[in-house]
Amino acid sequence: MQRNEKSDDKHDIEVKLTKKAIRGNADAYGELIRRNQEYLYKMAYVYTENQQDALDVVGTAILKGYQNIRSLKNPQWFRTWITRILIRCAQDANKKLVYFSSIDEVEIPERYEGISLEETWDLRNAIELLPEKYRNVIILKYFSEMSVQEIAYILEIPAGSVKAYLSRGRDELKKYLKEDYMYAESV
Amino acid sequence: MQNLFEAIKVPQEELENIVNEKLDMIRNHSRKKKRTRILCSFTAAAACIAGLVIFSVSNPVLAAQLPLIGHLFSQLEDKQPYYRDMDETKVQTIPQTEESENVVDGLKISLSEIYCNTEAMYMTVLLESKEGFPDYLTQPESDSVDYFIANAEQTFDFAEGTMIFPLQFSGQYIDEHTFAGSTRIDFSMGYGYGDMSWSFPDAVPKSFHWNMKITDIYTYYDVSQAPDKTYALNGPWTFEADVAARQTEKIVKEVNDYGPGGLGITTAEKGEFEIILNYAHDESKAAYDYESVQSVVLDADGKYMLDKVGMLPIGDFNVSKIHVYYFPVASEDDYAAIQEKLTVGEPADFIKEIAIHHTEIDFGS
Repeated sequence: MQRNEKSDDKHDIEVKLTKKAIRGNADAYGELIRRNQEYLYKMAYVYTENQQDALDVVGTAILKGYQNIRSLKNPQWFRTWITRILIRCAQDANKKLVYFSSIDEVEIPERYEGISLEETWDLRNAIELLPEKYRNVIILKYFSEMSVQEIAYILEIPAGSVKAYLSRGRDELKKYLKEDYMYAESV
Repeated sequence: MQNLFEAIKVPQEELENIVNEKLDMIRNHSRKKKRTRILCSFTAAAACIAGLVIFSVSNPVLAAQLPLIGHLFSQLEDKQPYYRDMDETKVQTIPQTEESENVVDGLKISLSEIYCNTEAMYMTVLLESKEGFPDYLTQPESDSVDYFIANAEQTFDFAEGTMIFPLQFSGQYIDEHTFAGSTRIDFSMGYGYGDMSWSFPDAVPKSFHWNMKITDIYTYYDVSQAPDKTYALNGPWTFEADVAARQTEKIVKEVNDYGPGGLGITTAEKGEFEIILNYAHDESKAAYDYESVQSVVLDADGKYMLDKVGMLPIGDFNVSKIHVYYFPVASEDDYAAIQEKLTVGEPADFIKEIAIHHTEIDFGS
């Protein structure tokens, strides 16, 4: 119960900060970014798989977010809204990169501490094998724990499509992963 | 999988550095804008007079675009999320007078049309640059943001205090000298600023007098890729008009009905241009797997309505009632096939056959 109250307080503070930021308050915007910076980095890393690229994407998203903060209509949705900007930045960054790596040269990064290398390798490869539309909804649903409505907003697709892509994406993942691994944490 | 996300190692020092660097840039930019705003108050009168003299020179582009005035709502309909199929007979076309067009520093801002109801005032404007807008805006190398931000101070004679809020003119470049944009001024924003006393009037009268001062206006190409590509001008551009407000109502219906997948609707709000469905998910009401039940919205005549994440543009639909049908889907291919059937012909009979739950929302008019 106490945890919920704390969570509610945190949410209320973020809504107040967002309202100030929309009115052009740079300090309020900065505080919002600081509260979400680790989340933003992790989300950028999921897309770029590279520390420097992820940092660049976060930097770009911070500036683009400030540039467009006045377009945020619902102050409750700052995190969802900045995620949409971050993903676009990451996709733009990925388009500019050309990778020439063979399967032997790919190293498993240390980021997945606490999870067996076998599981990490399987999951990472399985997600990367997904078509982009499925990959996006899987990442947002299971990594960010976002709702269908939030994912629909971020990807600018109907909620029905989100649900369909989730279903299809999970089916695809199941081809590569043990079923109990998929469902242990996600459902 | 969430554990996998949490386990991503964050390079704290490098992340702090990049966040600090970008936030410093933002703070410097913000301070610079405040300084120029103060300076502007001393130089505005002189700039305004100089601007008027400069703009009196014949401008062929301006002449070519004159027919735009009074016809912008329909042209900009797909550039903004608010209105659809606005009835032009109810739009207030603004006569071109000193109160509706201003020139400062070679930028002319003209009010074109106003549409007002009890929720908001919708407005179209034409921005005309004598020198022409920079190529990086009118002929961008990549997708650019086609809007201007105008810092504006507005007063309404039915409300105490000043509404101080940046307006976003979303629209398009007509040519290298001309930008057409529209914006929405929400009356529920309140009137006041910072720690001043705020007022929130209960009602918007049928007619009122409105004043607006745009203190400065700006847009960017892409601040992250090209921080020097910023177009900004200081005003003030001042406007005033007598506005007629249509006395419209927002109908709010309590629904609180859930489909068998656990997804449901708590309330539905019908405004003049859109219906908002407030969705919720309740696990305890789910008899089926969440993803295996989909929903579709039909209007009172059984026509398929596109659900844009809970927002349904009303347009030509008969929305005296709307129907939400929940139906099972076995796979994405199954869902795609059903969606295809919904968008052609009369989907009502088909969807009734396969629906496992139905919610009717009666707006009564």
